[in-house]
Amino acid sequence: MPLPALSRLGRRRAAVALAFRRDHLLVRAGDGRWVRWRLPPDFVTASATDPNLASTVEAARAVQSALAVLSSGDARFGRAVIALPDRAAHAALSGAAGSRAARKLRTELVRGLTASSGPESAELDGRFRFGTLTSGSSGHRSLLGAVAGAAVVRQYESAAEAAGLRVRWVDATSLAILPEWLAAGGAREDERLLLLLHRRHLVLAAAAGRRLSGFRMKLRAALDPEPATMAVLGATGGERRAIQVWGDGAERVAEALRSAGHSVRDIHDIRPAGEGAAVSPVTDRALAALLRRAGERPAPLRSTPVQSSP
Amino acid sequence: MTRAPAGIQLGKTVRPGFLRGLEFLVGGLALVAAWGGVSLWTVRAELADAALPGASPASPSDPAGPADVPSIEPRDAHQAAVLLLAGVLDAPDIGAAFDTVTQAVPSGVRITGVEVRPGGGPGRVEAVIAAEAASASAVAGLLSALGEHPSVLGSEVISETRQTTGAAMVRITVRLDAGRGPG
Repeated sequence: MPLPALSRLGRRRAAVALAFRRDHLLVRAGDGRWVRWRLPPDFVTASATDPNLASTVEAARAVQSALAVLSSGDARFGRAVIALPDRAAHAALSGAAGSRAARKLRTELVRGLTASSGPESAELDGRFRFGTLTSGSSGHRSLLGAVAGAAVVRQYESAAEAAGLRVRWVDATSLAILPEWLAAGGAREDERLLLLLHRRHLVLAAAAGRRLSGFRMKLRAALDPEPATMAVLGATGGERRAIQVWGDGAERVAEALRSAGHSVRDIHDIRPAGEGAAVSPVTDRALAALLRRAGERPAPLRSTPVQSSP
Repeated sequence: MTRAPAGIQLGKTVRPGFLRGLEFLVGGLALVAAWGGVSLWTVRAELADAALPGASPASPSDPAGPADVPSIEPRDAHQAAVLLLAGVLDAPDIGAAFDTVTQAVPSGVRITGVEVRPGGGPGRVEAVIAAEAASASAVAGLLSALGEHPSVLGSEVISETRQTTGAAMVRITVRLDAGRGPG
């Protein structure tokens, strides 16, 4: 009796990157093609503890529909990477690395989410997913940890799996960018800042060489440049630093930072694409980084989507 | 060239291998079941030929061949799981506000009540926290923790009743963004 599963083994299917946002799903293929699939308003509500998607079944249908549009000719997708909304994960930085530091960080992060006095480790394993990013050289490392409710992550994974995809990597959008950004740093202990701007929140990361030395997430009113400027000024203590600013409203924030004497060397603001569908440069870079983690070599994102559903 | 750090993984890295293993297991079990069916049929036929007591004669209508094992497609299993997991969050604003408050509680503070009401504008929520604080510094700690929280736009003590022990009953208004923003 031939087993269909056996015939599939060894054949590596292409990976797609998925990003669910408040009212749409973005699906990006490795060749740069992408689809923006509209979802009902407020379909996605980012939370690290409660289910995010209004309906996993509807989400799975959206993934299937978007894949059907992207699958043409020989293009068949079997694997997925998922960029969660930033606020679906709770992250913090520890100045020390190692297994003991990781355990401590995990406990603190979960305690922050559950407000319980001392959760048992067995309870943590079942209810939360925990991931870490170690950076820096030996003896001088830091540890960025993130937790997300298992039910939260599982909901996104289920949507992808129900569409026939195997999930290979799940990360929060802004966190997915950090490994490559850190690796791009010089060997010297140059201090640099990365400001990732989303419409309603911002992420500020600081690095000394390739070591992550600061991490902060803060809300901002829609596109208001002031919280971003204040966050940078607070992180630098008034000292002049080289800053990269990516995301929604980057040019306005960069202008404010330049007037404060900072050297803003890399600005990527959101650009409107065809059919009214714009992709944030933060989301774009996160999806490309996740595809690289799945073994793909993503081409630059095309300027217009294959389809932007009405 | 420096190898990039792997990055935070919140999903299960073992999933593909695990599912693949499961497929092998299901396939293996199906083969064993088929082999068992054939063996059983052979034994029954031999017993019938020998007319041993307890053996039933094999008739042509007996479904004595290998059992028709239904195959379970992994995709169907996923669909079933998705249906089980499907749910609608009725009150995300309230849930998010409550999360924010409970996350920010430092030691020395016990929350006795949280009232959540709509704030000004979409996604904005106002929470009134009633708390027992062991000391004035615990109140300051709570305000500081709230101020540090990314969801908090502002907070204000609206009443404070001190006791002779130094403990205080406080009511604090916290203005929050319920976190409907895109990631």
